[in-house]
Amino acid sequence: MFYQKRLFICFFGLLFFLLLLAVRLFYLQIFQYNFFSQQAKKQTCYLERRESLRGVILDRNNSLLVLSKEVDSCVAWPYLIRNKTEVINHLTYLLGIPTDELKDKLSSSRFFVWLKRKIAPSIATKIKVLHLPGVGLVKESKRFYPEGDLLWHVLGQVNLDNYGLSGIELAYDDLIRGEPVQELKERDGRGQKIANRVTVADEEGKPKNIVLTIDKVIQHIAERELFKTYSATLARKAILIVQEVSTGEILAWVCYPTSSEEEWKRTPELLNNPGISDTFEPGSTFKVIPACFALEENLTTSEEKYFCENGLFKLYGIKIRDHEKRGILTFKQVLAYSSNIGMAKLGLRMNKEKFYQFISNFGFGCVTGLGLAGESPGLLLLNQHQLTLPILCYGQGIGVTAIQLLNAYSAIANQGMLMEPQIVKEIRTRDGKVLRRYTPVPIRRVISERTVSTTTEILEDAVEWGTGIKAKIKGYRVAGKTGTAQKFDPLTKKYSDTKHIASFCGFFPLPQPRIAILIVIDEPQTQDYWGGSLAAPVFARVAEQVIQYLHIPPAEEKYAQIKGTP
Amino acid sequence: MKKHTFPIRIFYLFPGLIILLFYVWQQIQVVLWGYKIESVQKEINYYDDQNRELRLKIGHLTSLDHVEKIAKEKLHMEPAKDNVIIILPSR
Repeated sequence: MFYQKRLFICFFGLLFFLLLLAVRLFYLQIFQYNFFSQQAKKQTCYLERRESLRGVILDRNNSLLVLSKEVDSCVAWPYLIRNKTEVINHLTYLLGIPTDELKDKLSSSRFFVWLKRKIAPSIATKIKVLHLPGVGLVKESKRFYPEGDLLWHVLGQVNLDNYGLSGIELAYDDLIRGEPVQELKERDGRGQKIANRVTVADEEGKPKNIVLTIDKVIQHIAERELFKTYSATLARKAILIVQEVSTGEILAWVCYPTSSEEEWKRTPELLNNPGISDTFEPGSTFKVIPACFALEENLTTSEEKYFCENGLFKLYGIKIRDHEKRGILTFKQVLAYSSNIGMAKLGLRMNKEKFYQFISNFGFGCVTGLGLAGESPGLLLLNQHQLTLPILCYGQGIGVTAIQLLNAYSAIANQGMLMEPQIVKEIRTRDGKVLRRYTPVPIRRVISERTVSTTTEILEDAVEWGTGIKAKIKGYRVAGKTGTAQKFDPLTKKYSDTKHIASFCGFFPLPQPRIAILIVIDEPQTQDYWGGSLAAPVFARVAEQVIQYLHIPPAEEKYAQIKGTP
Repeated sequence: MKKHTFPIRIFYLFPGLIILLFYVWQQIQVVLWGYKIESVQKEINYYDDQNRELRLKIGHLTSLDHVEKIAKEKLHMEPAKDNVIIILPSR
């Protein structure tokens, strides 16, 4: 009985204790569920957030132009470093950071500091081997350019955090960069990752690949040939753009100078693409536009005679000069010999409003729709001065961008149809699936086919026996126009006698042009600064190689026979 | 009504035990497969990285500057002259 009582007390004591435990368990599991489950999740699960690798940029034939790859960045947790001198001694040499700078970084009260970002793999390996406490490597993505500086201005640059700063990298930044990848990961007691449980990033947010209209081979030809002239003339800038006339697609786009990372970080303006951001007075290359207007409005004919005043013409108090003394010239000759006086006289017949509307229709005074950041609309002001039209007719008093000028020539070559210039051909997923294909966009008809025919004939003469004779290509018919413009000096408020812009714009092969090319040489430092001497030969050299590359058959029968016979 | 004997009661508990064991087993399997998936994911990342590295190398080796340099310096090639006949296929 006595034992039974004790057993009973023990039993109830234990039962009470178990009941207490059960109540406590119930309280923790039911009432405190959210709190403890979150605590458990905090210990085992974590959200890994990382930037996606930027998409690649390809040329029209799928050749790689830009690619992102993971590289190491050297970081430090200063509070973990006990022997700072040892770390400084090792890293100063390896990272090439001055001792003082490194000392400052390691003495920082911050939890985490970047020591050097995006270092070379060989240096990363050396740092890894050292096992320095409080120093580590983290992965970051970096842009790589297998073609070096090819297409430098068009591709653009990214900053250290992989945000686009210029060119395609900036214009299509959202698509190329994609959204950051967020993954909910789980780890065990030893910190070992178990597996991804939830992936937040979806296909929509993944970085896209961009396919350009650029042809790598034509780009290479253009860069090589322009560089010869750019370096020989010690010009301030040089631009060359190649466009397919029927689609408006840009096949090559070269600008000089290019700059190093240190240079553009110091002077961000160097990232601008001069082909869209720089406006210049085109000079004689612009004469084709008033010529088109005059022919379209029946203000003149190609055979009408103009007296060119033997090289000097005074109009409303200013002196208009020709580079060669000429007497009577037909309108065709006025353009072929690039007479300013002949063109100024034509300007006197024009209606200002109608002409401005005509120029606007060609795309001058507005952005072209190319989609690149920093594009200038140019400068087209409706000025009431009597001289406005005469000087506009020989390409002064208007500011154009290189792409506007080339696109206007392409419109003439494309039977009078102005096309929107295009630089991006496709947007693709990482697997190569086409998400968007850009098709040619016709803007408007700017001139009739009759005017196209006469203008092309005149431009062909300009190359055959006019100022553009050095742009001639054996066996092929070429149309084009030279330009040599004096630059306006803001200091003296006069046109400079020493600063010029030499240019040439043309298209080939006639009678069905396929390609238009513009060359602009800004401030050549040579005695010979004429467009016909500097820019036209570049055109011929590039065009000859493009013809070979694109297998364009010659127009002349004799060449066709020779080259077509094995 | 006849009372169940002790072994029969165990027999009734058996399915419950099996279910419990299966639950524990599948939880362990989930973790083990998690490790495997993680390791395969690492492998995929490694090969992705290698793939990018190789694409970059191909890009460097087929870059026109490089090709031109090899053609000129190693193979002593030069641009075709005017007297070279090129057979143009009709396009």
